[in-house]
Amino acid sequence: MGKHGLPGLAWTLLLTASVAFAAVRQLEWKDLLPADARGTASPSQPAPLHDYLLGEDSPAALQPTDARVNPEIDGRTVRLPGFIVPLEIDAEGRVTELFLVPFFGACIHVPPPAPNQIVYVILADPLELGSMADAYWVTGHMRATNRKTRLGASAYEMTGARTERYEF
Amino acid sequence: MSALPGLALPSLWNRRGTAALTVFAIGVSVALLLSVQMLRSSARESFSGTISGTDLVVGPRTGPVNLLLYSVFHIGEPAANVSWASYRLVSGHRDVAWTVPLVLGDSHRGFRVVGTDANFFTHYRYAGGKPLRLAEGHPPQGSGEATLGHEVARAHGYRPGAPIVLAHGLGAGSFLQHEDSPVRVAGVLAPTGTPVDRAVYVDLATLEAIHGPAHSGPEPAAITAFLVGMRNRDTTLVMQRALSEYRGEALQAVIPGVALAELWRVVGIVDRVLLAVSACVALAGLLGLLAAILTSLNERRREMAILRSVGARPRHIFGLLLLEAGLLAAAGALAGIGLAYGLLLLARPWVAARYGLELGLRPLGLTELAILGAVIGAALVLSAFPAWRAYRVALADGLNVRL
Repeated sequence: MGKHGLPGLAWTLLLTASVAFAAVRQLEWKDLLPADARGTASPSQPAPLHDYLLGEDSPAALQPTDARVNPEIDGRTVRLPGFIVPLEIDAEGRVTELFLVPFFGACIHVPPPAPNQIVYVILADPLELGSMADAYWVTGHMRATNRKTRLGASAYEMTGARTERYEF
Repeated sequence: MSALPGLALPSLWNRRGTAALTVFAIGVSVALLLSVQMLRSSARESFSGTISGTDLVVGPRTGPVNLLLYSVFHIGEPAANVSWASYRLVSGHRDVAWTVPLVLGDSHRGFRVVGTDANFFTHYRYAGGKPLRLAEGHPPQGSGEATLGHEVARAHGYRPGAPIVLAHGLGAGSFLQHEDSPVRVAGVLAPTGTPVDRAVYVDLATLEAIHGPAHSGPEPAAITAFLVGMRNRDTTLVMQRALSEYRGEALQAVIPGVALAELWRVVGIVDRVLLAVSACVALAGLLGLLAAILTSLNERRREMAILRSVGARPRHIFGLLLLEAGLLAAAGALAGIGLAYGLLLLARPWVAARYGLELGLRPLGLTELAILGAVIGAALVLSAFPAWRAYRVALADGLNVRL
């Protein structure tokens, strides 16, 4: 590397980063909430859902569940880090469809996050999942579905997604 | 240089006893390494490919891996049942597209009998979304008919129309046979490479009929577990949570992908230890090769000296030893491939019968080729040491008579 190597490299990195940034928007989980809910949203879980099984007229089922989405990220290509809940596995044992969630253990032994804190992801490249405790960056086309009647369902869907390992 | 292969082969032939032993040692270690590797990948594929397209597996509270193992893989025994009322509650739910009931507890000559309904044949998917296909006949229609997995039919030569007797219990045999109510084979499924091949499928009504008039009617009082497909995949989590918090019965709903991943986290450790152990065995085989070459150096002092005296350069000696080691390792690798496939071929029926695991006999993949390359490469690197020693030895060394 020459005398001007380091600044040159930094400049190149900056350029690449800004080009990538223009196309792909990097998100945090709070960006998935609508702007007015960000201040008040808590990571605590919605009320128990056992009445969901028995019918939707029961009181618990009628509790408002915040499934409102952030319209700004609808239809954009975004990049979001999270943990993987594998849903579909192909013949080679690789994950092809998953839920992306903000914390490990969601959907296994603790209640799932709020609907607008879950992304249903369909991968373009199947992922060889090491452990569910590993975090990944997921990049893909985000679509928001505002279905208020669907209790606890994921409010976001990402297609054509790619993954890369997230290092803490 | 071009004369080297012409020298190396007869030279090895001259020491064929030691050479054969070395090849054998390398062959055994390569075979071990290869079969562990092939076992790993086919176990993983066989496990992962067994269930697909199912959103939830529901059963009594036991633990996700346990529930998946006994309901889908037919490994282990069910701990408790799920009431028919709970099953009806889920199957009639508006967000649920389909449900498949599963009733275990009977067997036929060591193969498990699964009571289910027509939904199993239309909705069960494996290996990334493949539906079940019938090789002949049709799914069981009503009481008294059975559709067999491919392996069951093959093992006993069953064709549609053949009568079979179901036995109580899950063992290889039973002293309580349902002889008074034989079942006719209605169809045979095409091979799937999953535990489906090793099961007998009957309608729920069949099991009710053969278990006597304790409760009349085609519907059972309880089932072992059931599979759920949601209308919309993203409601899976709500249904899962609603089921595990259901007050009517202690239920558990498991996302198959999650349970599989958990299973692999446990199995993966054993799996890596196995690979490490077999790598050590391969290393031991290579050290055997090194020892064989080193000891032969002393015996071959005269041979080397004669080669040198007729015009061979030190680098020719170096090349000759390297070539010999390479040939031995390559022969060992070939022997290892043969042994590995032979072993797999022999172990296949036993592993399938014992563990319900289908070992695929596939051509060598990239990983396997990389392993073989590594073994031969390591042999060359190791033999560079004796080759270098031979290279250093003076021309006069082997010609002098030492007392």
